[in-house]
Amino acid sequence: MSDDFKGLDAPFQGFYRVSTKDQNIGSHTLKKGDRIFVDMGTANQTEKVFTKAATFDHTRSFSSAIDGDGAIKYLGQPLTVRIVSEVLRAVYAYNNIRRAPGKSGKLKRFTEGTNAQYRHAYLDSNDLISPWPNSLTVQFDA
Amino acid sequence: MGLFYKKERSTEHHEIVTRLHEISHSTDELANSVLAIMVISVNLSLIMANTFDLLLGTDLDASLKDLAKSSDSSTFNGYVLEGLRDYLSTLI
Repeated sequence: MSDDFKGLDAPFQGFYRVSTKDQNIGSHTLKKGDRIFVDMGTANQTEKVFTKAATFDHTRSFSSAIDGDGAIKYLGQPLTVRIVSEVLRAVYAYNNIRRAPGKSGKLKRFTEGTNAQYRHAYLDSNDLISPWPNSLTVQFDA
Repeated sequence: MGLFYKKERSTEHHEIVTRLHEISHSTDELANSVLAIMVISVNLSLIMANTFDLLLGTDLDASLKDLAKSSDSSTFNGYVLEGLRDYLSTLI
């Protein structure tokens, strides 16, 4: 477990869904057509489910996490994790890899308040707002 | 253009499409598969960038660098899963 985090800071907050029928989900009663916001950011960092949720614990079980729509849904968790893991292992294998000095070594992202689903937006190479991470410069020893 | 491209260029994308074509039952299914791969590729790049940014430069660096050079992929996967918990979902 690492305490060297100010708290996990999820890039995405959640998503909207429309109830297709009258139903009860947990303590909530939904009517057909009701629009709801699934707050994944809060759900995946709640102390009710995850002990010391704001800390990074690589031994923690992922089974209680909500994965929503994305790679895990379409590729499955094992393949998604393997792809990401293999790429990051290759990057971390560079000798003494580290962030470049100053701002160039930081991912240029900021809190985006206009869209409830997306918590962050990014700046591209021309310092224009982009939905995609563009720049994080690293250094390594040859 | 032939003057500049005397040799056939790398065709890794052709290989992917060829393999998908072999297992697809229709052109629609092939098109859907290609589109899904495109979307997932974007999704994965977001996960990788944010997970890398989350981890790099923390007190986990030494462990991750050692794990990257070892054959122990399962422990490294634990770091990725915790990164995924942070990342949550792509919503693309």
